[in-house]
Amino acid sequence: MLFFSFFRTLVDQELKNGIEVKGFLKSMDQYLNLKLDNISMITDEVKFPQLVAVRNLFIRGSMVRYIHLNPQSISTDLLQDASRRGK
Amino acid sequence: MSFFGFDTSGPPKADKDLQTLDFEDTYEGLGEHPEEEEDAFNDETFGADIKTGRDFDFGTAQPQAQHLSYAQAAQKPIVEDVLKPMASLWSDQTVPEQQPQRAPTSGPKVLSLEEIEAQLMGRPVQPPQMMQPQMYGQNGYPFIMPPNVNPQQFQQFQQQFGGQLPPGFMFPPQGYPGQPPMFMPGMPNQQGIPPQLQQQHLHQFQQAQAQQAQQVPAQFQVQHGQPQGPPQVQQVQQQQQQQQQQAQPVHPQAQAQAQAPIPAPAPQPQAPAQPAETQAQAPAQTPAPSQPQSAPRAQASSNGQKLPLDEFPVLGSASVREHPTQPAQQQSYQQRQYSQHSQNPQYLQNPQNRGRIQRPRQDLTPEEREKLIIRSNKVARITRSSGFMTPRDKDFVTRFQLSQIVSQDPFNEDFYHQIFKILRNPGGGAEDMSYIAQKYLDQSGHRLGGKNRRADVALQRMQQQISKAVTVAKERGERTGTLAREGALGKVSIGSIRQPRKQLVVKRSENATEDELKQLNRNPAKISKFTRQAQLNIIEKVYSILLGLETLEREAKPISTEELFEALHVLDVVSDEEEHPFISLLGYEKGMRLFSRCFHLLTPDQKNACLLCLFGNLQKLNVVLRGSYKNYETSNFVIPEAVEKKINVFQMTVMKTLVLYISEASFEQVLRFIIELESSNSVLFVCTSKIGLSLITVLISRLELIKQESNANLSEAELEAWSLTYDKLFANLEERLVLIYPPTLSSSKSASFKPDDDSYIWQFLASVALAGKLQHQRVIVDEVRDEIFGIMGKARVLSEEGNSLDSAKFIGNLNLFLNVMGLKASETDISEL
Repeated sequence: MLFFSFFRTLVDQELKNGIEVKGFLKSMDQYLNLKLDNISMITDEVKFPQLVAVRNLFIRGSMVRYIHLNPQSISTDLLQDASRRGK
Repeated sequence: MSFFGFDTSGPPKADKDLQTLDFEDTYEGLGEHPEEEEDAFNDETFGADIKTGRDFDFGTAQPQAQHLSYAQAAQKPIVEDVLKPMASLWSDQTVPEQQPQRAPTSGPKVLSLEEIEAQLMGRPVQPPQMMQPQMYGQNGYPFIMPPNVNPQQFQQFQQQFGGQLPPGFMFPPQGYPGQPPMFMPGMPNQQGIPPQLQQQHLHQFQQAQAQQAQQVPAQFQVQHGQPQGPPQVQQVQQQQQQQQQQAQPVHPQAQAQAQAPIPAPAPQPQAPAQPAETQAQAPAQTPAPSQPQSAPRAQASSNGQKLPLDEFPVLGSASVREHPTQPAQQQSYQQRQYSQHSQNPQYLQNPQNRGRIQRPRQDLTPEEREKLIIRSNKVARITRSSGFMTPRDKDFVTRFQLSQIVSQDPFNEDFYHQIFKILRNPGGGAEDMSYIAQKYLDQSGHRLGGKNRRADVALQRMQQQISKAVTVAKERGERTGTLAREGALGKVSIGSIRQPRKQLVVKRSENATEDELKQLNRNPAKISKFTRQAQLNIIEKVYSILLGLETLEREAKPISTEELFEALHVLDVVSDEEEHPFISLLGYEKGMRLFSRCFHLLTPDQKNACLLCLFGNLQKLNVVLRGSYKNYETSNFVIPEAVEKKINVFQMTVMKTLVLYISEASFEQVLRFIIELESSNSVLFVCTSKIGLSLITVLISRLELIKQESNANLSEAELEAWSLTYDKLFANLEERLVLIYPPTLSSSKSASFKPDDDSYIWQFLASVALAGKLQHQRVIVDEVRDEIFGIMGKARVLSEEGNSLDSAKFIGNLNLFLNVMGLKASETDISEL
């Protein structure tokens, strides 16, 4: 599965989910559940005060809307190849 | 000796009026009789538990005999089976035994229950004693609870005692629920009693002795001359064992008595052991429905008593010895046991148990002890839930998780990750089982095998599990897809990393599939080969072939490039109006990338064919066609950004590949290319584009290089052909050489001071001049004289403005050309080198 294979390479990447969290990708599984470490909130902390003190997160894969990635850590050619193979 | 705080020395101080029996008081000094020395074979003659120094009046001495038997048993060695009393002496003994019982029994029977109750209520200070009455009732008062009493009665009796237990009372907590079966199977039969049970009897006996000392009227004891107080523990144990052994012959008698009209129970001192035995065995052998309460309680209490705490580690270590090669299992086993204890707070509160947990530190100050308690409580909290899973369970879960991650063919199924790792970390890309295992261990955070040591062992185990997991996953992969049911929309499928569970699987019938495929195939046939769609299709097809070939290449397997070459459509013949499919591929950025990736895979012939095709259709090449400034007269000859970008990509990919290949091509090959280029293209048009001009430069330079390097190796015909070709080429350009300068770059026409990108023009002129003769050079210089001086003028201006860097760049590019002819330009004039 391409996504899994892809995200496996993205350890230490910056991610944001629905509430927009930024952190280091610790690990993930085949359901694209994510484990983040050293997280910080991107959306204002007044809105989600309960997350201010949280340092690491487990996010259920189905709850993630977007994952923003650092372009430098992605090989687009390889990603294209991998997508082609995914058929 | 005291056990569980029980004072064996005498009755509790609360009952002062009861007579205290001391060993010295009751001892008659029988052991000091001188004639004992000659009693060597007395045991064999009379049996062990016969009171010496008395007559054998069993009738009157009955209650006493009960106690005597214990004392005398101590005189016998443990290996006692051979020392059974002679059958002839004992066979008729049962008859006198049974007769006189009633008198002594009736007294204590009524008293005992109430007295015990009273004691229970009155002595909460000694909890260990509190559970004794139950046993005591079975053991100490054989006449009350004979073995052949009916079950209801017995149960009632026990319930009474059960109800009297203080509400907060609990049995000693190490009621290892899993352990009784561990030793129970070791019992040979009903009579055989495991050592633990013997211990139980020991304590029962101790209690019985003490309590009886309180309760039995003094005169009664005196009358019967009860000789011994609480005996020493080891003695008692021996007695007890002996008693067990002797209980066997008595047992049938007890059975026989059950049918006797008199409910009077077994008179034998051994008889009391029977209820305890059956009681303890009941939970192991039969569910004992008639004693629902008593059975578990007996088990619990007997566990609490009979299992000396010191035996606990022995049990654990026994399992260690059984599995010396499985440290993890052993560890978890012990952990499990520990956690069972820790779930019961009383276990930790029990000082003895705590002492075991922290055995090395037993002599501690109260504060340290306090800390220790806190710590062990903490540990208990942490480990409360540990040990729920057996090693098997853990293995299963691990395998299940691994089977999702691990794949047999990582390069196929985990392509991106694998290749990415190789790209980012060349050399360390060797992916094997140990890597996965290591990774998994890191990620899951569990260390098999402890902190530091045995990491390699854990790794090995993980690897074994992985290979298992791969097998499982493979088998499952074969299974999936077979579960689709006819007529059902969905199918039962197991999701995996490679095959995520599908929401909907529509099964098409075989016939329909073929028809639909035909339908689908018909449509592409209608699509012209020359539409964008078809061209992109070609590229994708080439890609998939290429990826397959690259996989083969990685695995160092032989490659056949026939299919790839076919897919490139290099040899296709098309009419002049139509775009060659191969050339059209190079019009797309991904086509350009594709070309440079698959070019090295092709055979030399195929490469040659590719280049011939490319040079033959050079003017139709997108980057040449669109890259010529002539297309953009309306927009002041400025090449659009999109085209510029494509040109850049082409230079980075295709040009790079071509230059590399041509720089190693033979003279003949290159000559063919340039002839092909000349014959089928408008050279002038090609030269108006950057790519075209660069390609021609590459070809001419290569030819000249070979010519000058190895003049002797070239045949006359080849040199002749090259000379002709050059002349033709030059004739095409003669008098129109200025056209190669795009207006945006031409120094004479444009005011642009951008120093970039005119180097390719000077390189072209240099190569043409190099290959040409003096007259050619003169023509060239004549035609581009304005450009030369224009550049020099620009450089001068820039230099005056202080931008000497750009100025030097202009002059440097110009000198690329002038140097070929032995000239050198500066900002002001041109001199000879």
